[in-house]
Amino acid sequence: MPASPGPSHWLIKLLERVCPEHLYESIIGDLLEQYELNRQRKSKFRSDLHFIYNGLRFMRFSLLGRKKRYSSPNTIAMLSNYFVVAFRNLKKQKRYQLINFTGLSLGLSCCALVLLYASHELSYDNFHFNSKNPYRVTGEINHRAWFPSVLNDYAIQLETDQFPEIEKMVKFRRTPQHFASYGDKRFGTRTMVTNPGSRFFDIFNFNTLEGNQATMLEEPNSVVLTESTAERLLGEAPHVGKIIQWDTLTLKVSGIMKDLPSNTHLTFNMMIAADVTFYGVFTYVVLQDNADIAALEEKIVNLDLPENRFPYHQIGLQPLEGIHFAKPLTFELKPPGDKRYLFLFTGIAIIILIISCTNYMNLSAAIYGARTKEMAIRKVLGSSKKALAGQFLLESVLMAFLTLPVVLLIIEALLPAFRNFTEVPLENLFLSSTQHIGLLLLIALLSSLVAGLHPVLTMSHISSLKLFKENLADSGGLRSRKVLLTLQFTIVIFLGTGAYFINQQLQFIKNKDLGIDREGIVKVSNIYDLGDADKYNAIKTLGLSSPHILGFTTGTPPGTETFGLAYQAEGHEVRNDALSFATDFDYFEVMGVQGAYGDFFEKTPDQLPDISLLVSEKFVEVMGWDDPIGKKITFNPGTNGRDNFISGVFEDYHALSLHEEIVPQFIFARKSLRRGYENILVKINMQNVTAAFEAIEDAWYTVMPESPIRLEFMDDDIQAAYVQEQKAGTLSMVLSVLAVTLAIMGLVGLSAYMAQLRTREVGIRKVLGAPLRQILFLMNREFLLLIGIATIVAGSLSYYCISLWLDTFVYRTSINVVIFGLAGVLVLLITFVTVSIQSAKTALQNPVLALRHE
Amino acid sequence: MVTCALLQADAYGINIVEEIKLRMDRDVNLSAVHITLYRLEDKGYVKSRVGGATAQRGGRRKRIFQLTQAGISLLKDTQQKRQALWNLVPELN
Repeated sequence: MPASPGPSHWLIKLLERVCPEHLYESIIGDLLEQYELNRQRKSKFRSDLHFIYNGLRFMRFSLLGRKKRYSSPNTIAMLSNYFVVAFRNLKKQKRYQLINFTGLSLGLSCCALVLLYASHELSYDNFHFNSKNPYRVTGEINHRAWFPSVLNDYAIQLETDQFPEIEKMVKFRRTPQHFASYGDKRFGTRTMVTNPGSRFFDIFNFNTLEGNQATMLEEPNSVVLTESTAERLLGEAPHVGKIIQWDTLTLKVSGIMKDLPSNTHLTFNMMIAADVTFYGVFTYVVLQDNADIAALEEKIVNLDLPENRFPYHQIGLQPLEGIHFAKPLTFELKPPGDKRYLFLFTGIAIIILIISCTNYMNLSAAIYGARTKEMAIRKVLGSSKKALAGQFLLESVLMAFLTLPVVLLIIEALLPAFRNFTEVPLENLFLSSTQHIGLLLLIALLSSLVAGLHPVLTMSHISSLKLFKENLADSGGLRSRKVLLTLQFTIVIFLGTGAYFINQQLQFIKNKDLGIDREGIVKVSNIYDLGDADKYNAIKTLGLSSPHILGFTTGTPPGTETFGLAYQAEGHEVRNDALSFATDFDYFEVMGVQGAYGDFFEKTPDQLPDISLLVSEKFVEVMGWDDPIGKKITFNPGTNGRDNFISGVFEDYHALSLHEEIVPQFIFARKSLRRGYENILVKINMQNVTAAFEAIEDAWYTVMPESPIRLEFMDDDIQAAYVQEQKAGTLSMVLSVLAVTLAIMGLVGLSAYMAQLRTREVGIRKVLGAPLRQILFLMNREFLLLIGIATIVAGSLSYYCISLWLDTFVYRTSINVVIFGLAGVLVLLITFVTVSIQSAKTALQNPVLALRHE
Repeated sequence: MVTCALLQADAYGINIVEEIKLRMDRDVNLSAVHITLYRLEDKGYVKSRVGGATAQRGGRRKRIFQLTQAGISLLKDTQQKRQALWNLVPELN
């Protein structure tokens, strides 16, 4: 029998380590004996395997738990000593520690807030039944516009047996705002209409308060209201069984659901089941588990359509959970989120955290510099490297955890503002959700470990002799501190220039000539009840009699959704890529849209026919016509098409946001309107806005005493298209200020420390006759190069990112490279001032005192 | 425990495993036996001492287990109760 038994030695060692001391000997003995028994019966390989298997079976809690865990009293004493020392140091070096404390708590708070935001954004529509499965059917027309809804002709066929892979589906249509009335109360609602027997509540998981989900959309003319709408419209609960009027329908309340949560892409407060004509419907399908999505899309595209319908060029099945972050579609239900902004927020939070960590690292040199003697004595007394490292890490972790209460306070304080800013009803989950608490603790722990790493690396392995002898400034990671400082400068310049250009672009948007007047135009929306044109004309006449009202027209203002009619221009195929609406003759004058040429703009109103078709220059360009006047365009080609002839061309204006190219459009100008359209547009005298508003309201209520009026400035409406950008602008401003503040704080600490280190040097220089100027230069010299490097790095990075961002706009400001240089100079100035102030004390000191230093 | 009593002066890990395999025709894992023994020891039904070293086991000593008085009376008690129960069972052909 060989002296050394073959089986794995590592296992024996492992067992020796983990098994209780008084047991492991016999355990291993038994194992070995068994091994030898096995060797006599089986091959070596199998016995080896058996040995390992059996050995590992000993790794069980009931056995490992028997190991007596006692730590040597020494460890405990040292640990408590570390705490004592840590607290003493916190007290002793208040200034540096305060900088660290502030930095860390700000950094962690930013992270925490962004965490809240991100977890909300990522939770969109993840609460529905089998939420991975439902898909929304979307369609593309004309290679241009993706619509979130599809023609009902498609939806109808999806319900048939042609599609066995579809388990269930729901469709509903969005309707224009109408009033719902109950008794004498009326309320403008955002309504969806679905077919009776709809499986809406089978697919979407919303909580109901009254009624039975399975049957409440069963009967025709039943309606489900959200809680808050029901409260406002119907008063006291219970509501089921009440009868309300909506548009021309009489509806019976069959259920009350909770208000929609904020993390769903659906928005409505009334869901009606009724037999109405559907045209475009939002369609959601639940597929069988193994359904082939691409094949299904293909199958839907190839469906047969009735004659005069416009077929889709492509069909896309959009996963329900992905809708929020999908590319925005035309006429989406709710403005979708933007992943880029989520990344931006996250990135910036991380940047702030990095800045505070670098501050910590930079200052640690200063903090520990004063403690070299302590370190040295610890080493001499036999503290191991590991123990010293442990002490450093413990201190930084302690610091991070001390900030947590402050972080929670900051979150509480900032949450209302942040809620406003993100327009998301966020809650402080850091007090309730273990997941969030854990995550915050983890971030705190990680960042403190990173921050504490630097002193560990620089301090713990320097020989104690050196520690006794000299200042650490020169030995302890001067290079790494330079790198950190450069990193900080880079971040500051990057954020600063980013903020500058974002706000520059916002300014550009604000001042951009849209080709249409935007000042002093008031939009009256919600005019569906206006009915016929007589009322419109009556309000118009009344309104214009006021001196505060300069002009009065109707139409679709820029920035709002305008449905494009399908049309066929002479010599072209059917398209529907143009925006269109109808208005009266005053539109062009009131709105300041310039006419280019054509009868309409050259003749007096009474010489014109009842209806004139006007097209934009862009339209003419797209059609490639030299002389558009008199060309025929057929609208709604097919069964009920009608022909119109172009009688004028107007200059282009931006009807969509500046993200998009100018689109072709046409306008029907009518001598007398057949009915009220979507909005009334009033040009008012901006000298007296209140009086003008009153005049409009008076005119409105004289004619329409029953309907509430809704007034807003058109410019606000246009600006609303840039909400995301404005948020990014504000955010980048706030954060760059924050970053700069943090960086300056760090710089203050660092330069004060460096000045202190060089006290003696400065003293000698002064004795030898160096002027103050030279000394200050000496102190600043080190930073010059760093800022230079930072400017170049940050400049190019920022240039790249900003160009990417600006490319999302078709109409954009240009990037002025000088700004990067200016930013560098600015940072340089700030640094110079900070460093000079900090070193002034040393520089102005009597050299005698300086030489006596230490 | 019964095997422990059976083996008397020579009850330790491997022996018990082998014994169980031999008499009861059942495979048990070494670690399971160990743990059971430790648990019984905690309860005071067996006691253990460290036996002499042999070259066979890489020079490691055995831990030999022995029934205590409490263990013996528990065994007897269990056996009696089980027998009593068994006696109550009507004839199984």
